[in-house]
Amino acid sequence: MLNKNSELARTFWETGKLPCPIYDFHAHMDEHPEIYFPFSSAAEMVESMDKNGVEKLLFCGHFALDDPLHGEPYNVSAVRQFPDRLRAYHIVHSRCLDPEREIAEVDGHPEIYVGFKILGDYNRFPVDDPVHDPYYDYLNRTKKLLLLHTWGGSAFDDAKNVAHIAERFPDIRIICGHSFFGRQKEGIALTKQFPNVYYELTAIPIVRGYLEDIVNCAGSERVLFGTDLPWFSTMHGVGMVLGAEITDDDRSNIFYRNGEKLLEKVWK
Amino acid sequence: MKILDCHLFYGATNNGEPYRNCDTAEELFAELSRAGIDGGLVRCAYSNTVGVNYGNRFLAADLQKSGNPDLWGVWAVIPRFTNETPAAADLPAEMKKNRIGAVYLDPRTHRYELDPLTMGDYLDMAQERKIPVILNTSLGLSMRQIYDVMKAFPRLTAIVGDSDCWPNARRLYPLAASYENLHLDLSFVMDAGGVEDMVSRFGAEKLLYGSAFPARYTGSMLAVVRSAAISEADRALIFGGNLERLVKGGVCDAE
Repeated sequence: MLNKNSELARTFWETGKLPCPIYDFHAHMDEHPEIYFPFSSAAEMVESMDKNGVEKLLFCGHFALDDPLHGEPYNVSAVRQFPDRLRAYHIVHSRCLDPEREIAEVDGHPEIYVGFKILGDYNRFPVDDPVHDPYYDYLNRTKKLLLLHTWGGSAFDDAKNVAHIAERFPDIRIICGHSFFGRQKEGIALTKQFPNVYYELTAIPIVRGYLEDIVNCAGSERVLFGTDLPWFSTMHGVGMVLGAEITDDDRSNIFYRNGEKLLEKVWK
Repeated sequence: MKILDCHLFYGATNNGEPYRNCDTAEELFAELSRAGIDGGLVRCAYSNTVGVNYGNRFLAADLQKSGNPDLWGVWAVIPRFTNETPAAADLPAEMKKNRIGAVYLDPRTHRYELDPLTMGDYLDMAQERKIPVILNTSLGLSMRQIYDVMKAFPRLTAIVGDSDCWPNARRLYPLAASYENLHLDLSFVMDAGGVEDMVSRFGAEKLLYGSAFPARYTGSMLAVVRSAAISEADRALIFGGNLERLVKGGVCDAE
């Protein structure tokens, strides 16, 4: 039954499906040199979304993440293929910036992009460094999304870096990917004062108790579902949310209510 | 459908593990009941943190208290040369008496060289008696060591897992494809499409539902297997049929 204290879990167990939609705020796409994926193309990802009840998915493909010169068009082409289901985060390579062009790409294509994504740890570059200010100015004006990879203890994307951005650009919707993994309680304590900061769940299922930490510290109204698809199974994350010691109301907030509100203005 | 979890443990610890721990057998039984898990294989962390025999005895006593016919123990074994655990020849009877369905090797914690020289008598016996042996990187083995054990004991009834949180098909699939009695513990296999992919390549008979509770959530892999696009017969094997067959094919059902 998965969790005898949850009506949502009971329904899932009986039917194999959730009785509500899922919004996935953290995904990738296409192959990766270190990993074998049973599926990873846009069409296969959408097929997986259909099967698992994921209504909308926000992603930044591996080609864009790892090839600053040629990768971004793959994001565009995937969204064009599935405009009702997918939106992209435009990648920002902190050591290879072209703000004028990149902001124009996002601004000129609201039907493709919901905002930007930055991976401080992977770039080995602090996300709050002023080189990013033109991007943040733009997001602040337009109230679009900024997905940050955030990791507890990182010199590049821990809570203090995020707080620094949120303080200076209060209208950016900042999504903390991985919720400062490992130091989620401290990270949320430092950033919760900024009402536009959200906490996302990719990687959280690998440590029992982390989801409860996040919901207890942040409140489930600030928590967004995410998976890193095609890395990790949607259902692995769903099972964590269903089985964790939180309420069905929290679960509904995480699966879709918060996501619906956040996408209202940016999903064109 | 019976649900048996191949990867459970409990025991209080002061090691500062990041996960929410499960200190007692009673807490473990409560979680199994909450999640609808009928039983499975459980080890007591004290065999690693306090003493091998201390933990093994603790587990046997708790299993007796549980009265759950679907719950079996996993004992640690260490090299025979110091005569600290029952000799290989005596182990099956001790296991059967105490409802111990499998053994595990943790050469890092128990500080020995994993080699046919040190553990050959146990592994020979386990191979002949079809006693499941847990080989898991979460228990102090490297993948290299797992490969070496399987090369030396190719008919071993092994339950193999890799706790690296990234998808690990390139390391696990060669083992699953090569050894007939090797089974994969799915506790750490959170790969999208992973269960379906493995069933299509190796058959459901090689896969075991596991949660790694309390390190991980019981619900995660329950949801993955529950929703996998596989036949109901395959799902039943993964959820419990395979583990029951392995345990009962070893000492727990043997005359």
